[in-house]
This record gives sequence, C-alpha cells and structure tokens, in this order.
Amino acid sequence: MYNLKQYNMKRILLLSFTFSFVLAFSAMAQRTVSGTVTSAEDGSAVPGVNVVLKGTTTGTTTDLDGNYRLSVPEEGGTLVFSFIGLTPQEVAIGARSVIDVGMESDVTELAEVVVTAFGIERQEKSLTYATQEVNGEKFTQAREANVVNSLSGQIAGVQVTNSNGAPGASSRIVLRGASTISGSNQPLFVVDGIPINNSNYGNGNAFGGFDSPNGAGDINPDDIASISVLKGPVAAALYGNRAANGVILITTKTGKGTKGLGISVNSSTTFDSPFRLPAFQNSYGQGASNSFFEFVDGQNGSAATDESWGMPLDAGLNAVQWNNYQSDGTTNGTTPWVSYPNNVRDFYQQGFTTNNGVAISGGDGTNAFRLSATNMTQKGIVPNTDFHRWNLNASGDLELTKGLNASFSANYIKGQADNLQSVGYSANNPVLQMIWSGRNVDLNGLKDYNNLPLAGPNTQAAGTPLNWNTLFENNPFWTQHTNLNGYDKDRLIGNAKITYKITDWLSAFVRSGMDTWSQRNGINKAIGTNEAVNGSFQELDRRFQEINNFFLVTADKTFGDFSGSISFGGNQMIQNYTNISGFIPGLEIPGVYNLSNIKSGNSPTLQNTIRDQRINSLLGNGRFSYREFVYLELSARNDWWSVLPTNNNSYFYPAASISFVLTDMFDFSSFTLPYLKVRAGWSKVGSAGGLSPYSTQQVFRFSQPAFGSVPRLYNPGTLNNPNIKPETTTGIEFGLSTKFFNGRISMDATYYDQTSSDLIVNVQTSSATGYTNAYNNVGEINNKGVELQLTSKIIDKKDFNFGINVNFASYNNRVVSVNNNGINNDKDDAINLTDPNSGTSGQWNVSLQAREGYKYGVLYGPAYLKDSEGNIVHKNGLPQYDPNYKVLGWYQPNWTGGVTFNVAYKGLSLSALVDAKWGGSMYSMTTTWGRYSGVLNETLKGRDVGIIGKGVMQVGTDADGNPTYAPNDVVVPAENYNKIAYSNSIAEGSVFDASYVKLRQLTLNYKLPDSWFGGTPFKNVNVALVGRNLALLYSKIPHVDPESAFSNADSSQGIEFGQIPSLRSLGFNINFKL
Amino acid sequence: MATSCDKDFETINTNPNAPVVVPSSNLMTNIIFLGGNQLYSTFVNGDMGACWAHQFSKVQYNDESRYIVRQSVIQSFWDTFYTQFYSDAVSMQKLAIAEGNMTTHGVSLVLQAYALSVLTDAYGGIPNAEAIQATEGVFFPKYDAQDVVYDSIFAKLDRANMMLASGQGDITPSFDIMYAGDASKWQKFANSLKIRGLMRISNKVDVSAELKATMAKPIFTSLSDAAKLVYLEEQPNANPMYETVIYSGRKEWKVAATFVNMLQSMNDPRLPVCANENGDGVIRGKPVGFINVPNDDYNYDNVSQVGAFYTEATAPAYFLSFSEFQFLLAEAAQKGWINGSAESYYNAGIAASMAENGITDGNAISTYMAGSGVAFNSGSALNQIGTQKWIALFGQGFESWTEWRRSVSGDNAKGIPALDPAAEAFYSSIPTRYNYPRNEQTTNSANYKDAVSNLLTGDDLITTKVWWMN
Repeated sequence: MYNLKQYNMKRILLLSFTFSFVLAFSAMAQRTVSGTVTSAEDGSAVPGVNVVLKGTTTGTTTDLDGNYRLSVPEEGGTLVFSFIGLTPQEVAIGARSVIDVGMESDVTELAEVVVTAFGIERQEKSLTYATQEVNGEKFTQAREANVVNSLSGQIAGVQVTNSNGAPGASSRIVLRGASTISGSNQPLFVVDGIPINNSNYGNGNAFGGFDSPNGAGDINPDDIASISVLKGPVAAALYGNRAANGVILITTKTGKGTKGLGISVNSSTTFDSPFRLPAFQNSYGQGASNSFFEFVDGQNGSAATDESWGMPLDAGLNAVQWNNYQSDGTTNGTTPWVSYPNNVRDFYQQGFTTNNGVAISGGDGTNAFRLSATNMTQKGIVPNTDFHRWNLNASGDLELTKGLNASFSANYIKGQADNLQSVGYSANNPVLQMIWSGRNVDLNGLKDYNNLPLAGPNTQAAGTPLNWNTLFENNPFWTQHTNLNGYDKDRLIGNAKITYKITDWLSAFVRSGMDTWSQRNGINKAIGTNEAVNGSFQELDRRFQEINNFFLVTADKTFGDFSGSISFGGNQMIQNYTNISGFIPGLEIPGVYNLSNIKSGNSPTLQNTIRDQRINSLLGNGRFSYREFVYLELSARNDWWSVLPTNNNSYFYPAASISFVLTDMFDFSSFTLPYLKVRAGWSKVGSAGGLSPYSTQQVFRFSQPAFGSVPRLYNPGTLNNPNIKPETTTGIEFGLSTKFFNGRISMDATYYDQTSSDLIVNVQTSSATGYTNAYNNVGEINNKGVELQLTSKIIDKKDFNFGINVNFASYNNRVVSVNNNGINNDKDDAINLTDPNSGTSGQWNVSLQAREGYKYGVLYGPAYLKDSEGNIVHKNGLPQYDPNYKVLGWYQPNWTGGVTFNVAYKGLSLSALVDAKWGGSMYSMTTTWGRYSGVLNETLKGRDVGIIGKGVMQVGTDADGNPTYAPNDVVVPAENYNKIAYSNSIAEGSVFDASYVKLRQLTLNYKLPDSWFGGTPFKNVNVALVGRNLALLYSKIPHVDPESAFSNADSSQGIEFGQIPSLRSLGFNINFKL
Repeated sequence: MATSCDKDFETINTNPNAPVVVPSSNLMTNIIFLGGNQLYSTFVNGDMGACWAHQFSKVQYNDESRYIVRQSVIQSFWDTFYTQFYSDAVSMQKLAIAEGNMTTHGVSLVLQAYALSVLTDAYGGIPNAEAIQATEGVFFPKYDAQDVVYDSIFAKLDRANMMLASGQGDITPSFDIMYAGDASKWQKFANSLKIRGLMRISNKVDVSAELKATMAKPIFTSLSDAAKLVYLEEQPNANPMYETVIYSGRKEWKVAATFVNMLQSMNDPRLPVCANENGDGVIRGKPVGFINVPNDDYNYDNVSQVGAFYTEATAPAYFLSFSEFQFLLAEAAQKGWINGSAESYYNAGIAASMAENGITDGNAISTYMAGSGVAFNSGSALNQIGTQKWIALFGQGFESWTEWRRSVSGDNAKGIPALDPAAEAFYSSIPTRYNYPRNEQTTNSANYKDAVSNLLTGDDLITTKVWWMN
C-alpha cells in the first residue's frame, strides 16, 4: 500500500528532477556549490528541496540524503531553497563552495496537507469538500486538559461547550448543528483510523449526579500530531452510519521520518480560579418579611428559612446564629449580625493543573518508533475535588521487506478521581447553599467541621457536623470530604496495520484496531446526608470494547492527463458493552462503603446489562483528476447494522464531489490571485440516532430493588418498533478556496445545506395506549450555513511576523417537522429531549424540545401574561402568568466566530484568541432562586420603598369586553415582587440571551536561542506563558458563565443551576528537546 | 452478499438481559406496589386527598391545599394507572390466557377493574374500550363516558368472580403481596369492589338488584379480607408517607382543625392515633389553606403532626378496607337496597376502624359507641354513617375525598361531613375531579377535545363534577 504523502513527494521529486535537467542545459557552469539540506527541527536530511539560483532558471533538487550540487557563476549570487511545507530561504553564496542549510517548517504550508478519511494525507488542492485541520502544536500550547476544549474558536462551524469548572468535567462538540433528536449530535471521533468511544458515563443533570469526562477527553493533547475535522456528510460519508454528525480525525505523533534519537520534554502548570461568580448583596441577612431568623437547631422554629429577606446587616444588631449553637443543644447568646462579602469567593480555593510529559522517538529513516508518557493532575477550585490522567503511548513503523510495512500504535490511558464534583439542585452541590442562603453566614467558619458541634438529634442532618441550615443542607466542607464520587478508568486504544505495495500501482492494507476500557464509579453518601439519612453506596462497573477490522485495496494509475485512484475495502465493527451496578440504600456501619455493609432490613438494587452490536460494511472510493485542476471523488458504502430490524438493516451511503482549480484551469494565476478553487458535493449518510441494541423487541424488565425478596417484573413504558429504519442525512455543499497576494491571505468558504429525515424518536404517546412512548421514524431537521475561514500573514519578515486568522460560521438550524406517523396527533408538534441517564430533561417547569418550526433545543415553559403590546400584566402589583406554556428561547446560536492574532519577533511570539457565540438562550436557575431568596445584588432594589413592576395592570374592559390596561402603579414589597416574578412557576424572567465574546486564550512563547545551550544537550527550548478563559468581553447573562451546562448531553444544554464556575487559568509551559 | 453481511444479526440483537415471556403471577407484585405508592404518595394521599377532605392540613407549601394543583402529579397519576397498572394487568391477562391459568386471569381482571375505577373516579370519562392497544396500532384511544366505564368495571369483576371460583390454576404465593396466593380472597375482593362501585354510581342508577345479587357471592367478612398492601420496614419499600415525612424529614403535613374538632367533640379514642401532640403537649389542628404560613398562629411546632401510626414504615396501603366496606353496606341497608340491619353494619364499621387503628381497649370502644352522636340513630343514620366512614378513611386521602364527593348531592350541598373550601382558596369550591393530564391535549388531542365537550358538564377543570356526582 502506498502512502499518499510519499506518493506526492515522489511526484514532486520527479517533476523537479525533470525541471532541473532541462534547466541544466541552458546554464553556464563556472563553479560548483554543494551542501546538505536538513530539517532545523530535528537535523534530519530533507530530500526533494528545490535549490535555484535567484534570478535565473538554474536549479536542482536535493537527493534522498538531502545533498545537492549546483553549478553557479564565478561571482556567486543567491541560492533560493524551497520545499512544500518549509519556509523558503535565500542564502548569499559569497565565496563559499559548501553551503549547508537548516530549513524551518512553515505552519501555513503544512496545513495544506490534510488528513482525510482512513488517515489518507492529501493536498488541500485535491480536496472536494470542507475539511479543516489543526496542527498538534495548538493543543500543546493551549494546555487544555480536555482536548475538545482546545478546538473552541479555532475552526469554523465547530461549537464547543465546556460544562463547568470541575476537574474531569465533560465537553460537548457539535459540527454544523443538531441533526438528530434522540441520538447524540456529537461527531464520530477517530484516532489513527480507529473509531473511539466518546460517551460520557456520568449522570449529571439538573437535579444532581456528577459529570464525568467524555471519552475523547482521555486523549493526551501532547500526543496529537494533528486533528482534521470532516465537517459534513460529504467528507464523512465513507465512515458510514456513525458519521452523520461529521468526523474528528485525530492523528497521533509517530517517530516516522526521524533519524537517530530525539527526546522531547514538556512541562506545564496552570493556576485556576473561578471565572465568574454571582454578584451577591451584603446588606440584608437570613430571614423573611424583614424579621430575624433565630437559630434554634437549624430546622425548627421558623422552618429553617434559607432566604435573605431578613434584618439589615452591619447595623449594630445581634442575633442567635448557627455559631451560637453548643454541643448540648443550647445556644450561648448572640453574635453580631454582619455581612461576609467574600464568603462565597473564599469558599473556593486555588486550583491547579499540572502536565508533565516526555517523548522519545527514533529511527533510521525507514523504521521508527515513538514512546511517550504523560501525567496530568488537576486539583479543583472546590475543596477536595481532583482528577488525574496518565497516558502512555507507543508507536512503531517497520519495513519488513521492500514494499511490506508494518506499523502499530497503542495508547494506554488511566483516568482517576477521588471525587468528581456533584452538580445540579442537590444538597451535595455546595453551590446550592450559596444561592439558598443567609448573607450573614460565615461559610468559612464551617470549614473546621471536625471541631464543630453535631447537628441536633431532631434535625435532618442529625449526627453530622453543624451547618448554618440543617434541614435542607449539610455542612458543605463535610459533604465534600465524605460524599465522594470516585472514578477509575483504564483504557487501551490501539491498532496494528500491515501495508503491502503489490506493484507500483496496486497496494493494500489491513488494520485491526481496538478501543477497550473499563470504568468504575463508587458513589458514597455518609449517614446523615440530607438526601440519604441512612447513607448509601453505589458501585458501578462498566466495560466497553469495540474492535474494527478493516482492509483497503487501492489501485492507482495515470493515463496522460488523467490520473485515478480507486479503492475498495471493508470493515467489521464488533462492539460489546456490559455494566454491573450495586446500590445499597442504607449503611449498617458508618463510614464503610462496601455493598456488604447494607443496613439491616434494606434491599439492595442489583443490575447488570449486556449490549452487543455489530456493523459490517463494504465500501468503495474513486478519486480522479484531470491535469491536476479538475478533481472528482465518488464514494459508496453499505452498512449492515445489527441494532436495526433484519428487514431494514442494510443501508447504502453514496457521495459525489468535484472541484476545479480555476487559476490553473484558465491559467490566470497572479500575484494578487494566485489560487482559486471551487467545489461542490452531495452525499447521503445514515444513522440509527439514539437506537440502542435490542430496541426492536418487547421484553419484561425487572424493577429494582425487589420488594423485599420478591422481584418486580414489569412491561416497560416504551413500545419498541420492529419496523424502525435508519435516519438519513442528505447534504449538499459548495465551497471556494482562494489565496491572495502570493498566498499572504487565504480564504476558504463553504455553504452547506443538509437535511436529516426519518429521525428515530421515542415519541410520547397517550398513556391510555398502555405506553408512554413508542419508537418511530418521525421528523426532519434541516441545517444550512456558511463557514468562513481567513488566514493571513500581514507581515512576513525573517524576524517579524504578524498575522490574523478569522473564522466564522452561521447556523440556520430548523426542525422542519415532527410528523409523528399516527402515533401522536399533536397539533402543537414538539418532542421533549430526554437525558440518556435520567430519562428527563430541562429543569423545574422548563423542558428542552425539538419543536416544529424552531431551532432544535427549544426552551419551553411558563411565561408572563402580556398585553397585546407585549407588556407584562400585573395584578395587585404582581406579574401574572400566562395560562399556556410558551417557547422562551432555544440554545443553539445564530453564529460563532473566532479571531486569532499572531505576532512573532525573533524567538518571541504572542498569540491571542477571541471567540464569540451569538444568539441562543440560557435558562438560569441561579438567577431565579438567587432573586427569589434575596441573595443577589439586584434584590436590594426597593427593599425600603417597595417595587413598582414594569408593565401594565387592568383598569377596566372595553365595549367588546376585552381588558383595558394602564401602566402599573401599584407598589409592592420587594420580597413579594421577587418571589412572584422569579420562581419555579415562572421561567420567562430567567431566560437570557446567551451571546458572549470571550478572550479565550493568550499565549506568550519564547524560543530560547540555541546558542545559550551550546555544549549542553538541550535544543529547541521554549518557555510559554499561557492564559485561558481570561475575560468575558460581552455577555447579557448575569452572574454565570454563558457557556455553562450540566454535562455534554444534548438534553443538558441551555439550562443552568448552581454550576461549579468555569475556570480562569494562568500558567506556564516549558518544552525542550534533547 | 446481503445475507452473508448480516449473518447472526438476529441472534446478536436478541436481548439477553430480560425475558420475553414470564409466568403471569410474576407481574402482580409491581402492579400492586406501584398502585399503592401512587395512591399513598404525599401528593395524592395528602395534598390532593386528605387536605381536600379536611383530614390533613399543611403548615407550608399550601398550593394544592388551596386547589392550585401540580400538573406533573395529575400526569403521573394517569401514567401510573394506565401504563403500569392497567397495561401490566392486561399483559398479565394475556400471559394467563397463554398458560390456561383461570385464577391469575381472574386476578388480572380485578386489577384492571381497580385501575379503571380509580382513573374514572379521578377524571370522569376516560379511554377504556380503545385503551391499552398500542401493540395493535391504536394510538388515539377514544374516551368512554363514565357510566360506560362503570359497566366495563362490573363486567370485568363478574368475569373475575367466575374465574377465581373455577379453581383452575394457581397464583405463585410469593408474588401475591396482597393475599399470598389465596384465590378465595381475590374473589371476595372482586365482589366487594363491585359493591363499592355500585354504591358509587347509586346517585345515578338504581343499583338495588345488582347489590342484592352481589351480596349473595363471596364478599369481605372479616378484617383479614381487606385488600391492602403491607409495606416493609425500609425505604424504598416502606409506606410513602413514612418515606417523605420521616425518612426525608418533610414535616409540613399536619392534621386539619375540622378533623380534630370533630373527633374531640365525640371523645374519639382514635384521635391520639391519628394526630401527635404538638410542642405544647396537646392535639391541635390547623384550618386547611392559607397562603402565608407558617406564622405564629400555625407553625411546625404548635400544630399536631399526622399521627406516628400513619407515618410508620409498615403502615398499610388500603385498596379497600373492611371498615369502609361495612359503612357502604350500612348505607345500602339504610336505603333499603340490601337486606340486613344498617345499625349492625354501622357498628361493625366502627369496630373495624378501631381495630384498623390498633385500638384494643374494649371499654373505651364501647363507651365511644354509646356516646351521643355516635350511637346509631335511625333518624340521622345516613349522616352518621357518612361521618364515621370519613373518620375511618383517615389516611386514605383519595378515597376520603372521593366518598365525600359522592355525598355532595341533594340536601347535602356541603357533603358529609359538611366542609367549607380552604382558607384563601384559589377556587370557591372544593375540587371534584382532576383535570385531564396535559399530555392528553397534545398526544390524543382530537379525542381529548371530544371528551371535554361531550363527557363533561363543564370545562376541563378540577371543579367540574364527574357523572356520578350529578
């Protein structure tokens, strides 16, 4: 099997040889200059470099060992060295006869070779669809723990959401927009040709649980050579049914091309702090109706009022507070009623992330290896949260005999956390009690929980360390140290590949790859925990294995002006998933978290699941070109997927695309417009959406726990469908690539229009049918948009560079229909998105929906009553609610964009990334409850004089009996107003425009001069200062980061409550080679 | 090629985790358990049952007490009784037919009838004839009028009576968490349930002949016949009241002033069982309702909590109690619809209720039963029977409210006992049904609209009366 990059290089070589041979005749040889061209990076020889005497047609190319020899005039002149991917160099000959040159790689040029389907590297010129690549350097620089985050703002049409700032938090990535209702909208991740699992097996949602890393987050950013993003179905059609949302191709580093031994070392540390905290008021303390909350035992008396509508703070008052409570249950007097303006900020600690890695690579030019080891450690900003990851990576290339090559790569990943942070509306989330709180509470006085009295015997928190509230909450520091969400994951991703070049035009390879992992979670809840007074423990073990066996035969021929390459291949995917879970609802012996320690009389919940599936595929691909300015690509794939019914399980995915390099075709390449290419493509890809194995047959299930010792069998509420068929995404795209001013500015623009139909949805049905839901093919989603990528090198001098890169993408996403085929005759067509873990979505009265005529991800819930002009209608001074729920917004944006500025002076370079998301909404329950409970700054308004709500009130009726309105002028107490205007009964007041502009990243890198390290083994020493998530330049959402989400699930987006704040990180990075 | 490319796929996609066929008895456990949990949840039993019937009263979170209902509760009640109770009982019936087991077939019919009676009493007209047929492709079931639903309930119970008498087939005792596999008790339950149903529609239909005929069949004759689920010691298999009030520490459920005053006026020995002493060591109720609570007048400390007996982990969930059954017979006898003495049924009802409340002091019971207002008086017998039934149904919120609703007719505009709407109530009358769940408006809209315009005498509101009340 040939390698396309080598193939291209050989062709360049051939052309260059011919070229120089022709030229040689016309040159007047007077003396000879010779030398060796090497890579400045690793000192290895560079073959095929053009060496031309400036201003003449005299030239040659370097041989396989990088040597050249050229006749030059006696008076010398200037030699120009150039090669694709390397920065051209001009060297004055002077009197020298030996000129050795070290050439630097040119990042812009490198990007023109792009990794495409099945890891085939191709020249950008020959591509017929939208693909964009990010070089590995970016990931090393960004120092993001989760590699998905470092794609944020870098690539047009990629939307990244980082859930929250807890260690191990998941990230979501969506290309071009949502295309399925029941399945995941995230792309397929492929590492070195092997699809990998990107699932998040956490259970974080609006009402608790914890988030855990998404599968792709296991990859070590330092091992990545490049990431190619195949955005649409045209580029991804060859990957078949799992590629409807695009493909992210990750190529890891290998030792390929190295000669001798190279060692590189990388070390970084970043310091993390909360990016944004709510603005709290500090003028009024705990209580309701302006009266004191007097602490009895944290729960009786006034029913544990956990609000701040009480007496003024810092006014010389004293009250019985939690810290007056004594071990014997009495209180000892009072303490001053004062504010603690920093009580929340001080709760958070300095977090940090360290990353240390070493890589060794070596080879003899043909055979090569690379080994790397990296450790990442995160300590969270919330006490006692952490995450660790170890990555070991090995790869090798071996030429067995001429034409027969073997290669392998293996990644072992261990992820571990003693405690992943609980999220959502749960007493295990300490942020909950910063929002439902008394602003007089000295939170940090609770820190030394071991030396505090225990909560009183009649309280919900009885027996646990004292808290300011013992009915709804536990001491947050105690919770953080006792109620742990443990995480352990071992994973191996690897592949072995044998390539055989049968003749010079026919080659073949076989590759077998595996992604296998096992993950354990232990979820501890101590006795006395608010939500589990008897304590509880859950042990969860999951195993996953996916094997892909793949072969591809390629024939490659050139006939005159035509050249063609035809491949035929097949793949077998075998996936097995199992899980086993044990849960005990009470502990017998405190502090022992083992399933055997079940409280006497309790029944355990024991469950295990097996899920097996298989996909068999055959595929073909043809690429044809005419004189290297017309390119045509045709591909076809057929999948047989076991999760589908046997009569519907075979699906065909065709794609066709074409491009024209107009500048070459009509020969008008100039300095101003050296390059112009147009392209068009069409494709069809299938998907099974959210369909999991065994969804075509009805079974009885066991409800857990048993009733004592009696198992509870039931008929599940979802009706499976034996006639379900796959979803289909059909897309067209048009593109344009162009360069201006000799390549100083390049631009790539794409327009796409893709429609996903026959969406598989677990449709809600009338329960009177016997089922709450039934699987069916319903609905259609359309995505249209423009992607624009602009790269510039405005100043390009030897010692000084300045460039700006811009990317922009618009998203016109529309749920065209949720026509439900006779299962649900909803005139008001909408389908609630469901959380894969909890089965619900949204929070309180807001649901997330796919609603006909709207963008996917509608926030649907209770709204204010309005008059015909849109003013809120008040009654007795209080806002009224509309009896009908309404569309309050949607979470998908209108457009995203990013601007990167790069400045370099000698070894010093500065890079800044500003990114923006525009449009879309977020429902912020932090704002709702923070206003309801009177803790947020804005609740100070009208505390003394009352509030006149903005809007109207009814003053009578007109002749037709319709209400007539006048501006509202009724004054109501601020507490009453806030409790009616913001509560779980009314969502509209807390839905905000989620647009933002962020200073995402700032990197200052200094490459220390090699001369400083003369006589030492150190080379290429770089030190960098890195800053991430530095500033929110624009946002309309108060109090929280507009990017928040509970997890990376589609059903956990656009809503927020009590998030662990996202991180502002500052740090440094050092790397060098030996 | 296509055949070789999906070889073994059918085997691979066959679920190894769960069975396609199970013995019919095995489905009983979950049906009974979930039915009990739904009826005795603090929302249904407490907020929308016992609070509406002035037995419980809350010191905080009074929306439901003031007739502002949570749509999610209305929805989950409908979902549970249709998809987990009725639907599973139909699955059980199909399995029983395949097994040729007449006994479990009979049980499945009793369970279906029970689900239907609860659903129709809550909502009015409901889907029945076209219900539970998704597997046959019926996704838009029409609603049947309540009288038609009741006909279907009686038909199912008659068939159940026959099948349970056949002696063909067994119930696996361990799965029967109601009667431990005793088919004769299921038969008694079937017929007793039919009597309750007949009494429920007796304002509208002359049920005398049917009552007499049913009395001749096996019916409840002792406390041990009662249809009840006895919960276990530990959550989540414990009584739902225990799980919310004790386990989760939600102590806002207190006793209503109406109830406390009534029992105090008659020196009822059941009062200290139904209510705990407050912080001052006395039993004190709170009027139902009020927006702004708790306050100095009524707070967590000075109002009595629902009695510990009713928040015990093992407190039973009654599907039909023996005391209620006796009071129904007393009413039927007093109205001359059945033979027998109304007085002796009445006395048996009180005695049964005392026993159900764990009161064993015979002297105290006989003193009470001889007391004024309690001792049977044929002049005010119907009122006495109604009042005693209301007391006996303490803790069975849904049934208390339903039987009270039935008493709102003719001269008894305020029902038996006479109840006023809650303080600061959202509606000026006590709710008389649940509105249809929101999902029906979207998933079954045509039939829903048809039901609202044809089957209800008013809008789809909680204050609209169901057919048997009119």
